[in-house]
Amino acid sequence: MIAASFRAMGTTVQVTVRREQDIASTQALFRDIEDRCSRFLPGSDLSRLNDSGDCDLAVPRPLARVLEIAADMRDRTDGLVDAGLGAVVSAWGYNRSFEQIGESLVPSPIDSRPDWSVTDGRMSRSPGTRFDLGGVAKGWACDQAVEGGHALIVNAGGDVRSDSPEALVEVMDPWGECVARVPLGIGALATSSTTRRRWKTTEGEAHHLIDPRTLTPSNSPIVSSTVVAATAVEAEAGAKAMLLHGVDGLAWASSRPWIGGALAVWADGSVYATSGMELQAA
Amino acid sequence: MIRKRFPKIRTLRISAWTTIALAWAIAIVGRQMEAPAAEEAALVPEPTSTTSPAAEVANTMPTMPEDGLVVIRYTPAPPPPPSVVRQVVVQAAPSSPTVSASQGS
Repeated sequence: MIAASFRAMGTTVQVTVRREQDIASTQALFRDIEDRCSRFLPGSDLSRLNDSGDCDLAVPRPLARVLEIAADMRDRTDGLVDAGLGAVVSAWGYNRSFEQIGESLVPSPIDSRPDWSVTDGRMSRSPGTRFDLGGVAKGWACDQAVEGGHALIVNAGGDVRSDSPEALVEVMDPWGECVARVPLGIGALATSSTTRRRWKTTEGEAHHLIDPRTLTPSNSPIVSSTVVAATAVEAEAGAKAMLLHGVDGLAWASSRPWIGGALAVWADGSVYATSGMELQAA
Repeated sequence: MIRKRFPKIRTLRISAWTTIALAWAIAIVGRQMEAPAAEEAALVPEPTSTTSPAAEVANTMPTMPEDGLVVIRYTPAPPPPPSVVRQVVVQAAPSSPTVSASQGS
């Protein structure tokens, strides 16, 4: 097996592949999905959708597929993980690639929640709805890389998808300490955190996890959440939703049949997990 | 006999002076009791929260899932808050083929 890494989607992607040429094909897959689904690339399908003022329009098939998955994740997370919050994230200052975010931005919060749906390649949305597919696209790219036979294990910024029975994931807390080792095997695991992708605004520190109930960055006591699921898309959405649920997050995750296990790092440094989480001592 | 010793005018005068004296005494005692309370109130600052909203959030406990909760680490004393993380591009070290790390994004 060969381990390699490359930059894509604003993060480092680590891959484990069987053959040398699989590195390039995995990288090409990530680039292709980024080219279609990035809100930061002016020519991407998503940028064209976001910049279009139309509320009812046809969407290119690959992008429509990712939007359909995003809609499914929104429904499964009771609306907490909503890709249609792109305008809100931008309003809080995350309107360019994270590396280019400046200091002391002045947020201009939005007070209306988006409403959108996609059916048979047609998008219907409320005026002003913009999309942020960063999380869904990253998870989907991991899934596609493994399901398409390009890679055995993919780790894109904490979203892990594996087809290797021996895959083991070390879950790190925001202070850089390994809090658990998860014998993942075949499946997926994702970690979402409010201590990364943070920036300063005149209203205080902001981060990328917007709570759709308040349309502001989440004030959850969970600073890092990890979820195990069958696919990286599900694990990523589950981790975000659990974090946004706050004190009820672990109970919520435990009650979802599509979530295999969950772990939460509390703001006071405590670490809790659901009983379904298979762990090895760190 | 009694009527002789306490004619109507004298009774009225005694009642009036008694009322005045009682009112004065009550006023004096009342003022003395109010003063320490006011001083105390002046010394006690406005009730303020000693913990920040973030710390209050941190001091919560998770809702217990139906099938139980595993406590991996309990930290009653909060660690220092993580600093604002800026993403830095580094040359990724070659990883072991089967071990991945997940710290979130």
